[in-house]
Amino acid sequence: MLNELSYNRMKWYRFTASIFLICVYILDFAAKPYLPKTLLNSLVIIALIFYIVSIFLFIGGQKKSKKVILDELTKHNEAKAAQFTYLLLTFAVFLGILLTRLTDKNITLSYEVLFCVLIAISAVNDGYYLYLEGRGGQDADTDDED
Amino acid sequence: MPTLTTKIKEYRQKAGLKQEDLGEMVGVRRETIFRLEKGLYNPSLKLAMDIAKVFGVTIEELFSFEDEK
Repeated sequence: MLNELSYNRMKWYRFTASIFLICVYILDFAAKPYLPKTLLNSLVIIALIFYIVSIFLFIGGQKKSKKVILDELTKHNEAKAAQFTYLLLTFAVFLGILLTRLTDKNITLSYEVLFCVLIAISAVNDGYYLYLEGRGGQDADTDDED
Repeated sequence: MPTLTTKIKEYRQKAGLKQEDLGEMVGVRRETIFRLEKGLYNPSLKLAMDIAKVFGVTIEELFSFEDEK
């Protein structure tokens, strides 16, 4: 399994886990009175384990595999995704500050909010990277392989 | 603006290599070779030189600029 785990697949696992975590946190925020706290905690723990395991599997796979996993195209797409994420984050922070100024309210940053922001950054970064990878390579598998 | 066109596919097929084989020889993924052949990605000078070396040709023979009409 380790030999088969590509960078894109690791990104997929991490992206799925991030989206799952964000959904659980939204659920926690919106449906707190209706759902048991233990269920929400269990879901967060499951998603976190999935997130961390996908990273360790990738590190293990990179050491074991003889195949090329990271190349200049990967770095090129990673750089583009990071740039996009940075722009989006700057815009979101700017919008947040502007809204709080306009409504005369304060932003309370708890550990959970910070964690959610970090997970969202990871999700945007992974999602945009996967989009870039998929955009040009959709028919890569169907190309003539002689 | 002129676009970069390549003859990698032509040379690869002549050499009887698969995209994966060529990728392995120059240290990149198969997807990268696919995108290079389709003109979706411009390679670094090092990668272009490595590919040219595999086929025993010069970079100019492998890559050329074409004016868009």
